[in-house]
Amino acid sequence: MIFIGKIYKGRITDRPRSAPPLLTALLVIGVVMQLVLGSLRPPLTATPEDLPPPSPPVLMQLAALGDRVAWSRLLMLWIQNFDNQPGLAIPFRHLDYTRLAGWLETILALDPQSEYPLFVALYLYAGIPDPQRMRIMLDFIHRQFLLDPAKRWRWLAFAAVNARHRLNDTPLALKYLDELALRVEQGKLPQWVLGVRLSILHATGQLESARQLIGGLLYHREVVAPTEIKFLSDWLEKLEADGK
Amino acid sequence: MVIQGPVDHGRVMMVIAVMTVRENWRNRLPWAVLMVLGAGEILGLFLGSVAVTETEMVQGAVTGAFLRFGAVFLLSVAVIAGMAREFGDRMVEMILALAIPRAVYHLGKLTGFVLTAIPITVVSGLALIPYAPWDQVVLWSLSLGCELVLMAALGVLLVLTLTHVTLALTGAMAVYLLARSASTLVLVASGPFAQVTPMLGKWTLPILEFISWLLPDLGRFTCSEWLAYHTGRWTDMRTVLLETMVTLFFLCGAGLFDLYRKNL
Repeated sequence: MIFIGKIYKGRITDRPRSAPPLLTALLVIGVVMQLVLGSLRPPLTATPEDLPPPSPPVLMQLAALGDRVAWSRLLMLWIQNFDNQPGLAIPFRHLDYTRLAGWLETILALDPQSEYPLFVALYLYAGIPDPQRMRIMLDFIHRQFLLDPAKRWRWLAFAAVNARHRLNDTPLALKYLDELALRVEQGKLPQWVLGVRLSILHATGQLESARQLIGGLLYHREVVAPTEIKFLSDWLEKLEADGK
Repeated sequence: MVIQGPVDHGRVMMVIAVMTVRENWRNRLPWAVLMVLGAGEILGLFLGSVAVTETEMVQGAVTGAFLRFGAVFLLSVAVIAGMAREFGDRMVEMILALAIPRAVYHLGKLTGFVLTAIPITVVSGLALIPYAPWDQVVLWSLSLGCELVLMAALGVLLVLTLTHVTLALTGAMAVYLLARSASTLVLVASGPFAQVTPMLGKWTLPILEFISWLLPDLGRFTCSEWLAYHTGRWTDMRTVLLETMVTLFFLCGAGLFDLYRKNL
């Protein structure tokens, strides 16, 4: 017996039978027709897509299917990459910032522990030379700070620095810093936040306000650490010297 | 496998369980699991390159959600397709013609699917080790194991009831998604929605509440927060285990009720 088939797991099988020539020809024609049809399709044109208005939070909660954290992260990445559409790169200045802030708010509502939306609001979207759009982002950060001052103070402090140095809006920066002092428990804020406030007061000639601020902190013993007392005393001396 | 001497029900159950595991192994389920794991790892790497901050949190949460759904889907398909094939090939009738109660067959199959779920759970957990502390991954994996046990019991029940693969699989996925979002639906129905349309709210809320009582609250199982924020505590497993045991009891009862009613 001549074995021409291949042995597969102890069984002898025949070689695969060849398909009828007509079927082979039909297969080739099918592939060619598919390729021709593909090449005749109209070329894709990149059309910029506007950011849709944020969906109601209720819908987003339902869409999360019980996993808000993962859903909020996916939404965040979609928003973050919205400026990179197929074949297009949309400048941030062409994005609707009101809608953008709405989406960031929705994402943060889905996962309040995340700091991602605050990070991109400050470092990505507020980083463009467009005062109006920058204000929308800083305002978003301010609103979110009010919802959880203990956890989000850092972002408002950075927003104050941005308002002062990038937006050149000193009153806005001072407003944010005042809110920080008012709403965050003393001792929770690091020295540099107080330093920013003092330097703004100093730079804008509001020496009396700076003196009152330091005097108040020292008088009411809200600062007890020796290093902090020295830090404030140094500032007070500097202010006294400038005031003379 | 040959059983000699008087029929030991426990032994028969284990034989059915082992045969079920072997069947799943031969059905290339491990390859499908590896494909899902590979896709999950690629997704994790992609997210790592896209996220600009909280990278590990993004990777852990999204990859975890993907692996969880992948594991649930694969096990449901394996359970439903395996059971449906046994019914189609008249294997069930052959086994039940032996001197064993139907409950032994039911519990044997279920044990086999639970044994199949264990390696799926372990490899899913191992895939998440780079993104979260080991204790959180262990908690997540145990919870996923409980979720898979429930899905196996649900799959068996749906095949016994609906008898068709497409219907049973659709039903399993629908129940799974409903169980994950039932508590959110109740919250929505009891919130502003109820005030806007009082009549609708009046009828919808009790129905939704009833559904949420009937189903396990899978929103508390296998939480992405554990991977992203490391907030999982061993005490969380109490609720998960309690819900698993109670729901498993209910699903097994319903499955056995249906199996005993069948004219085989």
